[in-house]
Amino acid sequence: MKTVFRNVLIILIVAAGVAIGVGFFHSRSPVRQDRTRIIHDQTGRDVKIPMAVHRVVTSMYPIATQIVFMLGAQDCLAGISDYDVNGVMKRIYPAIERIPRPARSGGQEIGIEEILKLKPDIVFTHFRSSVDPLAEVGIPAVCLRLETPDALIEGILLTGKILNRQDRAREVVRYYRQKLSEIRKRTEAVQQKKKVYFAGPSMLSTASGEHYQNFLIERASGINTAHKCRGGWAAISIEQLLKWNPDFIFIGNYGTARVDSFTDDPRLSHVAAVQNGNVFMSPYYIGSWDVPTPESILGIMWLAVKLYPEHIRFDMAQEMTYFYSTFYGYSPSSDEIEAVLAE
Amino acid sequence: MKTTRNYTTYLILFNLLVFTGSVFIGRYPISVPDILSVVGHVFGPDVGESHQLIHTVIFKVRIPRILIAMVIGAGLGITGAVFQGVFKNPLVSPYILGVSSGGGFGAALAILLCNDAIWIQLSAFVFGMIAVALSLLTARLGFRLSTYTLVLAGVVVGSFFSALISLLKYVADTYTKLPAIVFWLMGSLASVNTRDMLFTAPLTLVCIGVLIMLRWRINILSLGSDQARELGLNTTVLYIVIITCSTMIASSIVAIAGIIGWVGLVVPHLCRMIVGADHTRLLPASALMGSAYMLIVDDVARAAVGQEIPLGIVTAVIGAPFFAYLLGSRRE
Repeated sequence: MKTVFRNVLIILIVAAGVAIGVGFFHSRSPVRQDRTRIIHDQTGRDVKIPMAVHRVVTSMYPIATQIVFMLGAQDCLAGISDYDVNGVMKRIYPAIERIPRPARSGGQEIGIEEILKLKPDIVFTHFRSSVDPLAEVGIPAVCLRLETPDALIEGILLTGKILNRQDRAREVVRYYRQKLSEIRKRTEAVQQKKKVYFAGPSMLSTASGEHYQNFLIERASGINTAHKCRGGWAAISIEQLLKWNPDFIFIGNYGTARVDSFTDDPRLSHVAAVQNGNVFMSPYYIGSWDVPTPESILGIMWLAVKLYPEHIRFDMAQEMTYFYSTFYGYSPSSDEIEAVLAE
Repeated sequence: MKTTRNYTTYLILFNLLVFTGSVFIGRYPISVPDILSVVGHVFGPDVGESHQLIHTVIFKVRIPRILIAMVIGAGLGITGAVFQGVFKNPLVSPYILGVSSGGGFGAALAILLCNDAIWIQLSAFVFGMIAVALSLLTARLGFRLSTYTLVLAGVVVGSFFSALISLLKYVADTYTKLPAIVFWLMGSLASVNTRDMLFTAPLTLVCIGVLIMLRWRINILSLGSDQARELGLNTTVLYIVIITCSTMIASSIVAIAGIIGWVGLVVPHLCRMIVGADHTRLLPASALMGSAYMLIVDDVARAAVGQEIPLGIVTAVIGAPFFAYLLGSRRE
């Protein structure tokens, strides 16, 4: 009899706990506004979002943080990731250190409760899998897919629409399109397009035809030697590199390779890029200029100038000052500019 | 005894054959006459200006990579044979004591912290050794050092370091650091250079030599540690020496080439079918067979398509069906 009583008691306590839990989640539906609108995100989903968006969480997608900055909506950021906070960002926007960061580093999925704590009006992500759990607790999630320059432009316009900063988004996009078409026009006459090898995580892992760096090279009117390779970073052999014989070699700042990895390697002394001194580290400021971030437009311009100095001239120091002061409200010091553009 | 010599001779000839064939295989197109003329000119005074590049491809790219593949294959083959004998367990590979997960963790840590090639290798090597030392310590907790507790301790330590690798992958930046870690863990000889060779080859060859010198004792040890002790062997010291040598080999290989599975598992079984279970014959045979096997696998990895195929994939795709075949033919 005693054990029966105890079992009943346990069941009652568990049931009460579940009821309280369910009630808790239902009582706090974060979308407070009654007025909503529908937008289409970059995976083709319809998302119902509030008319006015005040609290934005980008912890799962660091690139979205940069877009929010470019649109001048940084005061709306309610949750970011460690990836977004570095020396440059602290100078640009000192308050960034006080924005909550549920994600170590960046680009990972985060638990629903961590997101709920931030009370967001909207969450930007690129994981399709995190959308439904968020929708279940009433948080609209927008998927961004920014893996090509065109998709990046689309993503900026979409974010502008969501944050009600369409004019600003159009201004940003106008700048992008103007620079891209300028490069295209100036390099149209080029007969022999330059062959470019882009080294990523290591000396012999290169950007495949599906990678952002491939589109970067294409937009700068170069030919990616590995454009036929598939997958993210493609591993290749020294012999393959000798066979490709690239005119230029660029190196991401995040890998193990350095300029002298190529220039000091006796096996590579016959490669055109090494013989002509055309091996360069790819620049980075807030982040790397060769990954899918808004800054990558500067990366494309920088690359075009390196490849075709006789056809195209950008004063990169001036362009940097214009870009960051216009879109981030911060003018980099001449020391900073020199450090970025130093070879 | 005569047949043993024969096997060794055959295996050495087989190695020479595969070596010669491998010189002709590669992504950079070179005609056979060009190769022959460049190789023929080595002993002559000079190589023609037009042949400079071909000379570079053959002597600075292909042959060093061929040699490193052979050294690595020999190292993995012999440590596999030694571990299978000493642990009296046919499923054991050189990585059973946690070298690969320890090394992988060391490399991932260095990629996150400083991202310098030399530090990545050193860190992989050191953590590979640390993992095995932890396995040995764990195995001694409460028990006398026995092969069963050692294998179990290896599994425990290996899982622990695997979890740490996952943790590092989780906190690594997805655009930049994570690909570098994943890449490293897959194993490849593509980026091995002369410096790596100078680091790994002497160490591996010396340790292979020590293991071959110990082949009689390994024979006795494979009977069981009690019998070995009755025959007057200090089994604990012997275990430590054997494990240290094998770990130095495996660790230095993991440090320069990443985790290359299957070679250390399949090669000893293949050799056991040919020369029998006697370690005096099995160890040299495993080293020679390992070097030829690794070289063939690496030829596929480097020359089949424009992109390098990660070695782990090739060794498993060739190794698994082959192993299944060996198991099947054994039943008869």
